[in-house]
Amino acid sequence: MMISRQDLINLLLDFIEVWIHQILYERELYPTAIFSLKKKYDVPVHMATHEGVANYISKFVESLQTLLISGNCKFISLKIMSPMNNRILERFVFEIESALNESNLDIPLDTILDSEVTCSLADIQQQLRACLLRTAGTRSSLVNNPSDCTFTLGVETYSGPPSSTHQQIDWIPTQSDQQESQQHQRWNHIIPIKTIPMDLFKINVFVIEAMKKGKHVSR
Amino acid sequence: MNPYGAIKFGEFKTYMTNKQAKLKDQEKFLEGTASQTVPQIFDGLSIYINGYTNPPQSELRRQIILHGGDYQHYLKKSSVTHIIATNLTHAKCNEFRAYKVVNPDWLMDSIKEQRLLPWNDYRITGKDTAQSELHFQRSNKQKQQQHEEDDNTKKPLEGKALNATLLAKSWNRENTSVNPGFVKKFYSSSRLHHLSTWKSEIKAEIIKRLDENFGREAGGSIGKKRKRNGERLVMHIDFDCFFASVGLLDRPELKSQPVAVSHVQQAKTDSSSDIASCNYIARASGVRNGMHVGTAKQRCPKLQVIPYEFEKYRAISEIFYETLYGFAEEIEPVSVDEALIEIGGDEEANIVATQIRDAIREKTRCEVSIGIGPNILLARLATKKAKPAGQYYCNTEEVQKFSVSDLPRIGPSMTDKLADMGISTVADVLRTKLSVLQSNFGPKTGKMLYEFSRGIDDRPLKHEQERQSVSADVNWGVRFENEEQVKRFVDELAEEVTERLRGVQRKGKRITLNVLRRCLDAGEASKRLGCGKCDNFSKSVSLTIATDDPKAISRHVYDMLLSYKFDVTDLRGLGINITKLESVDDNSKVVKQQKLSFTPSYESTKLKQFPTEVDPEVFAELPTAVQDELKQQYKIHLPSSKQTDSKLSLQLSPQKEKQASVVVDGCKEDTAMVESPYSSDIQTSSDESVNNEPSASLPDIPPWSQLDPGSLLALPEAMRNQVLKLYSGKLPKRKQNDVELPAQQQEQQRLQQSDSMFSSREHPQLTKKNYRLMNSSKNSTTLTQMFNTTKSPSREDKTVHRPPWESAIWAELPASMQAEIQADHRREQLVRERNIRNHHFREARVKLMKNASSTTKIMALPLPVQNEPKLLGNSSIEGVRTVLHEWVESFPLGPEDEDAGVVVKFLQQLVQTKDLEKAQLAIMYFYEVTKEKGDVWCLFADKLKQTVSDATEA
Repeated sequence: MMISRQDLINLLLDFIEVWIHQILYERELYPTAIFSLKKKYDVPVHMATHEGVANYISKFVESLQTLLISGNCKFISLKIMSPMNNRILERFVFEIESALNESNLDIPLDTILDSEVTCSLADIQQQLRACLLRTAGTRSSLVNNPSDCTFTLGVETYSGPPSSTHQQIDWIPTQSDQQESQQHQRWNHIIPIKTIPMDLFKINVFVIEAMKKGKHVSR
Repeated sequence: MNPYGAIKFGEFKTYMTNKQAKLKDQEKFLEGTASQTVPQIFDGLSIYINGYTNPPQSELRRQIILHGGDYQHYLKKSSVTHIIATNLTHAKCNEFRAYKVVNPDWLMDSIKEQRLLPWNDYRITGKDTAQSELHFQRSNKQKQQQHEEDDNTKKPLEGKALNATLLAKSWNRENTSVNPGFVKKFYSSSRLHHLSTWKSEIKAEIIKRLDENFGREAGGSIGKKRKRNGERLVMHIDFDCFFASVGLLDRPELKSQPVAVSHVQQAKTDSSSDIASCNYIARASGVRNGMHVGTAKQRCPKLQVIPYEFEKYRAISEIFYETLYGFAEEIEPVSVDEALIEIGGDEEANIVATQIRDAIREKTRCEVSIGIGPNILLARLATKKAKPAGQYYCNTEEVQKFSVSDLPRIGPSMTDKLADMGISTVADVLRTKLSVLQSNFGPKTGKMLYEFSRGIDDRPLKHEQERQSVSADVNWGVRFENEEQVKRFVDELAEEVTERLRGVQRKGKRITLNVLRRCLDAGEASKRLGCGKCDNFSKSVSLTIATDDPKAISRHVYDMLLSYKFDVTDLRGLGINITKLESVDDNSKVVKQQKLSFTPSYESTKLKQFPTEVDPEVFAELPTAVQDELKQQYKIHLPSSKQTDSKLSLQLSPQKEKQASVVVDGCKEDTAMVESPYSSDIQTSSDESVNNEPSASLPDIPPWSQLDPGSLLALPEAMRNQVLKLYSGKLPKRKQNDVELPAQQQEQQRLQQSDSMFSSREHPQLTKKNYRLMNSSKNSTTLTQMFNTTKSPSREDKTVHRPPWESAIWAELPASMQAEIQADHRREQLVRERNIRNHHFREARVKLMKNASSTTKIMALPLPVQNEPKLLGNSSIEGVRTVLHEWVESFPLGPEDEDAGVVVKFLQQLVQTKDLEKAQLAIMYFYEVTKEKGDVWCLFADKLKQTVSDATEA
C-alpha cells in the first residue's frame, strides 16, 4: 500500500493523540474509570472517554497539523505539575525533527506531501507500537506522583507562534521549557523512551523527572 | 508424588500424569467391583478406543479392565497393542496403519467365548469401514412375481396410457390437476382439509375469546394464582366419540345403533370414504375411526352413516371449553373435543372430575371421559381406562400395567422395535437399562421411554403451541399430461401454501417437497382419481432467509421435482411443506445477518441535513419526472408564502458545491491549457453520461453564490455570457438565481459548457491577462506561500471564503435574494470550518494528482540525508561500542582530555539529532566497560551522563 507523506503526518497525529491519552492513564492524572481499553497498533491502550478531556486532546492534536506540515514543531511536551506549588514534576517530551523544516527545500510543499514515503507502513507502525509500550513501561522507573496532579500540553516551535487558521485554537504564549528549567528546576534524571526514524520525521521521545519529587509529596 | 495434590501454574505435564494416575485409581476400583472372578483374557493387552462404538466406550472400558486388560485413555503409540474403532476416517486409517485396529465385536465376542479371539477376523481397514450396505432380501414371492413378469415380458404399465384413458372422461378432466385452478377447487371441497383446518381454527378462536373473557393473557400464565401446595394434578378430558355423539343428539332414534360419521350419504359397501368417528356400539363390532366406510359396512352391516355437522360441533366445543375454564388453573387445548387441565392439588380430584362431567353432560348432553394423573402422561393413560363415560385416577405405579403402545409418542414402528427387544409392557421397559434404551432409540427417545416407564413426565401444560410447519398436499386427482400442467400445478400449490403461511403470519426457511409417484407396476387407483399404490419421495431445501414468496417457493419446488426426472404422467401427488418457521413481524430474526454500518456518503448526509427550499412556481414548471427525481433526492420544502420573484432557490449541500467549484476550476484550466488531459476526461465522461442515466457522482454546476465573481469577470466575454446563461437557466432574463437544475438538464448543460469551452479556445479574446490570471491559480503553492500566516492558505479557500456580498454583482441583486444568499453563506461557513483542514490538503492533492497524471507519477522524493554523528567514522551503535571499548582498554589510567572531548561532542551531537536512544545505549555501554576500571573512568562516565542530560534539557 502506498502511503503519502500527508498520510504519514496524519498517522503521526493519530499516534500523538494516543500517546497523550496513554500518559494520562499511566501517570494517573484522571481516575481510571474514565478510561476505556482500546487497541491501537495491536497493543492495548487506554483512551479517556470523558468528553472534555478527549476533546481537549483531540483539539490540541488537530492544531498540531499545520505545525507539523510547516515543520515548525520542535517538540510537544506534556508537563505534570504538583498540585501544591505547580512545580513541574515530570515532563514527557515528544521531540520532532522534521525534514520539512530544512531551509534548503525548494520542492513545492504539495509535491512533498503527495510523494510516497520511503519506509513501509508496517515498519512505522512497529516503531509506534514500541514507543507506546515503552511509554507504558516508564511507570516502573518513575517515582509515583502525589495525587491530584495537573498537566499542561505545550508545543515549542522553531520560529514564532503557531499560525492558526482556525479560530477555535487559542494558543497561549509561555516560557520555553528551557528557560523554565534553567530558572528553578532541578531534574533528577532523563529516561529516553524511544527514538523513531520515520521518513520525514525523526521522533525522539523521553521523559524527564524532577528531583525530590517525594519530598513534595510528604510536605 | 501425590496425584491429588495441587499443581502449579504451567505444570501441564504434571496435570496429565496426575490425571492418568487418577484414572488408573478409578480402574482399580472398577476391578474391585467384579462380582466373580473373570478370566483375564486381555491380560497384557493395552487397548485404546477411538470414536463411537457400540457398546459405548465406558462399557468397553469396564469390560477391558475386568478382563485384565489395560485401558488407555490417551493413545500412547509406543505401548498400545490394539485400537478399537467402528469407523475410521481416511486420515486416521493412515495414522493407525501400523496398529491392530479392530472393531468392538472382537472384544465382545472374546468375552463371550472366554478366550482371546484372533484379531484378524475383526480387523478394520479403510475399505470395510465405508458405509455398510443394507442387505435387502427379496422375498420368494417377489422373486416369483419378478420371474413371471420377466417371462411374460410384460412391460410395466405406461403412465401415459393410463392417464389418457382416465382423462378421456370429461368429469375426470375437470376434476384433475390438468385443469387450471385445481388446487383451489380441491381445497374448497376437501373434507379432510376442512376438518383439519377447521379444528385448529376453532380451537384457536375459542381459546382466544375465552382468554379475553377470563382475563388470561394469551400464551401467558393464568388469572387464578396457582396454588402449589399439593401435588400436581392433571386431567385429560376427552369427549367420547365426539362427532358421533353430537350427531346423535338430534337423532335419538339411532342411539342404540352403530353409527359412524362420514361424508358419504349412502353407505355402500365399496365406498372408500373414511369414517371420522363412530360410537361405541359400532366399535364393538370392529369398526374403527379412519376405516373406509365400505370395510366398516362389511364388518357391521347395520352401520348407520351420518353426515358432518360442523356448526354443532363448534357450539358444543365452545361450551366445553367454557366449562373447563371454570375449573382449570392451567389449560392446554388439544383439540376441539379434547383438553388437558391442571387443577389445584388440594382439591379432591375425583370429586372435581365428577363435577366437570356432570356440568358438561348437563350443558351438552354429551359424555366426556376424564383421566386424572399427577402429570400429562398419566392423565392421558388414565383416559384410556376411563373411557367410555367414566373417570380414572392413574398413579405412578400403575403405569406399568399398560402396554408400551399405549404410551404417547410411541407408534407402531417403535412398538415393533421394542417387541424385537422383548419389550411389550411398560414393566418390561422399566427393567431395561437407560443406556440400552438410549443406544437403541437415541439419547432423547431413550430417555423419554425410560422416564415414561417410571411415570415421570414433567412437561408443563402449554397454553398455546407454536406452529411448527405449514404445508399443502394434494394426492387426489393429480394427473398430468405435460410439463406446463405440472408447472402450473406447482405454482398453484405454492400459492396455497403461501396463503396459509400468511394466515398464521409466518415465514419458512425450509421447503420440503413430497412426491407420490405411481408404483411402476400399479394400475389405476381403485378410488376414483385417487393416488393408488405409490412410492413416496421427498426432498428439501434450506433457504438462508425465511420466505413467504410463492414464486420463490414454487421455483425451489419445481427444481426439486425436476431433479427426480419422473415421468409427469406418473405423478400422483405433490405436497409442499414449509418448516423452520419464523414470525413475520420479528424482523430481527428474519434478517439474521448483521448489517454493515456504512457511514452514508458525506454528500447524502449533508443533503438530509439541509431541507431544501424550492419555489413552488418553478417546481411546478419542471417536468414531472424531474420533480419526482428531485423529491427523491432532496427534502424539498415548498414554502407556503410566495417569495417575490426570485424564481428558484434550491440549496445544494456545500459538499456538492465544492465539487462543482472544482469542475469550474477544471474548466478554467482547460481554457488555459488546451492540451490538458483533464479536459478530455471531462469530455469523455460527459459523453458517456449522455447515453447512461446521469450518475449522481458527476459534479454539478455550483450555485451562483459559490461562483467567484472575480474569476467570472476575468472570463472572456463570450464565455461569461455562456456561464451566465447557464445560471439563468430557463429564464431568458439574466436573473441570478441559485438554480439547481435537474440532473439531466445539468448534463446537457455541462455538455454545452464543455463545448463552449472548446469553442472558446479559439476565441480571440482570450487575452494574455486572462491567461495569466488563470494560470497563476494553477501554480502549485510553495511552502512559504502555503503557510503564510497572514494570507488565507490556498486558492481554494480564497474562492470559498470570500463572502458573496463583496462582489460587484451583490448590489444588483434583489433584497430577498441577498438575504437568502447570506443565510446560505453562513450555513456553508459552518460546514466549511469543520472540514477545512482536511479539505485543504485533499484538494491540494487532487490537484497535484491531476497535474501528475499527465506527466509521471510522483515517486518517493529523496529527502536531504541527515548527517549522522560519527565517532571515529562509526555511526552504528556496534561501531560506537567497539570504539569506546578500545578506548577504555587502551587508557587504563583515565581518559585523555582530547579524546574525552571527542566523545562528549559525539554524545551531544546525538542528542541534537534527536537520537537519544543511541546516546543512552552508548552511555550504558560505557558504564559497563568502565565499571572495573577505577574511579577516574567512573567519574568520567558520570560526567558523560550529565552532559547528555544537560544537552537534552536544553
